[in-house]
Amino acid sequence: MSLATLIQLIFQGLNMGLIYALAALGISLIWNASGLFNFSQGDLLTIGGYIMLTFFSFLSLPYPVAFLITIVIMGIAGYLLSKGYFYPMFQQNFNPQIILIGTVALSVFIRNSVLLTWGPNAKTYTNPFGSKPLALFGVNLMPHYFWNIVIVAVLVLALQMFLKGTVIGIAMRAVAQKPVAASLMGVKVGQMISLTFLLSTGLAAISGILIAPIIPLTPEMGGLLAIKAFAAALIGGLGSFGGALVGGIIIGIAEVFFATLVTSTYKDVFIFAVLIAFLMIRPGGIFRADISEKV
Amino acid sequence: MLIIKDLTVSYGTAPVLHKINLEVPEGKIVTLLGANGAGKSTTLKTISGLLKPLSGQITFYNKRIDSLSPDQIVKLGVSHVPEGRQIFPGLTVEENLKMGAYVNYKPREVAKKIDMIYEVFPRLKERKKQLAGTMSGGEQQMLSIGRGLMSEPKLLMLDEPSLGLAPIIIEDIFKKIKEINELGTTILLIEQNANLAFAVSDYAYLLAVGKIVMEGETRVIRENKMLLAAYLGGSN
Ligand SMILES: Nc1ncnc2c1ncn2[C@@H]1O[C@H](COP(=O)(O)OP(=O)(O)O)[C@@H](O)[C@H]1O
Ligand SMILES: [Mg+2]
Repeated sequence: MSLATLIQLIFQGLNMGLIYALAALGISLIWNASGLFNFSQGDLLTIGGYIMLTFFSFLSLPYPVAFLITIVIMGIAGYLLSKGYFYPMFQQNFNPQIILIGTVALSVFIRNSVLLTWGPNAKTYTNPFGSKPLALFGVNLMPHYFWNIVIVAVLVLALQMFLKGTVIGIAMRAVAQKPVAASLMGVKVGQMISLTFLLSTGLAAISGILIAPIIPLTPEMGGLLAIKAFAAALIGGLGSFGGALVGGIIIGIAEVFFATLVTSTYKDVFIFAVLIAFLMIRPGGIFRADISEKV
Repeated sequence: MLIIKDLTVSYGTAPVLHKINLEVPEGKIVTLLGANGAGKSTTLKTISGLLKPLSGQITFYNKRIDSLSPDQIVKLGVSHVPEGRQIFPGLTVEENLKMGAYVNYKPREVAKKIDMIYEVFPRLKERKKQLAGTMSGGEQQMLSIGRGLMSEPKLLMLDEPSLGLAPIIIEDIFKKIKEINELGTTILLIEQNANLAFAVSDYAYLLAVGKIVMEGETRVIRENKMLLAAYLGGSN
């Protein structure tokens, strides 16, 4: 393999990986705050893509405007989902497995709703960053590789600043560590958990927005995306901020290399194999989320 | 300032507290003594709103607080420093203190209050950027008390601040408790160790299996060695 191809594949993998990482970050946020998993995380990502499709492609709003509208809509949806489903169940001490099964049902519901609303055919929209590769030193790189790096970097920094530098952010971390003590401080635990879902769903929506020009949207695509995002979170270390990023990038790069060098037919199976191998070697993930760096 | 009347509390169906009556007058240190499992922590959790009573009432400055939520109760000036410290281990000392002021958060004032806490507990100042979970038990207890003071409570409730600490550190912490009281904060203290509690408190209640079995001024109660030994075990 030439160096140019190598660099190209790394960029391509990094790009997909950062998209998975955003969704994985959302998974870790929720895990820390409530010890729960949302199986419909991938489908929330899909809806994010479809809502973007509607505003950007059908209604022809400018990209940044459609982007913001989509995040706001999905953030509110995540907040309501927590208020209406997760937090009431969590508060009444339902078994986490039961709560998880409920989210499987939610996932089916979302897929069918998407199917009814947007139809079964794959849909995509024009890549806002251009679809002509840039030739840099003999390497062909898509403009969105760079844009996505910038977007994800800005998001991650903003999220860090929010969690470390604002009272609400500190309170969210406090709730994740000691919910009872946090409520003694007057923190409303339910509100913080709902806020976590808002952030998490917002992040999933951004993944969906970034993925749609690369992988066309279909109603059931969320299943596979969820698995990749979960794999990223687990490989990186569930609950860890850096872990979600590194895990996402590993999945993205592993997938692209396998698809190119071996076969693209089995690339998703390969991701499973990578996940299982990782869990056997290092069950806690790369960054075993010790408290110090929990999201 | 705090009056508890006929308070009955249960987890599920079995009552843990049976019609207890208790009063904390302004400016004093009142101790609630009792063996393990007597219901001391349950009493504090009910006052701070974590648990809702089955019957009875709790009033604070003549206002019923037994149906309020924890954040409303903190806002009224009741602060609960829980058993086992319960500091936020992954937050820095400073962030922990900030959380203590959460209900009424004004950055400027919070900075001033943090400085005041550092005056009471200079150790915390040395460690302000350190993750709270990496500190020693004694330092964590200081932090937990400091965090409890950040809301500028009128009533500070301490649940077994001596738990698991070395005698020399306990002595230090109890000195601070006395100091905090002298600066004007009323204290409701929970202890299993009667001698420790008697050294600082004005009035004491003895709780046994969910019932108040004895109460009185500390200097009177402490003389009743046989009864204390019967309820608290030989070590006292
Ligand atoms: N969350 C709970 N669920 C059920 N029972 C509890 C719970 N917490 C405490 N208890 C029971 O209530 C009684 C009083 O507990 P607690 O108030 O913690 O006692 P103390 O603080 O005096 O040691 C004990 O018998 C204990 O087993
Ligand atoms: Mg107790």
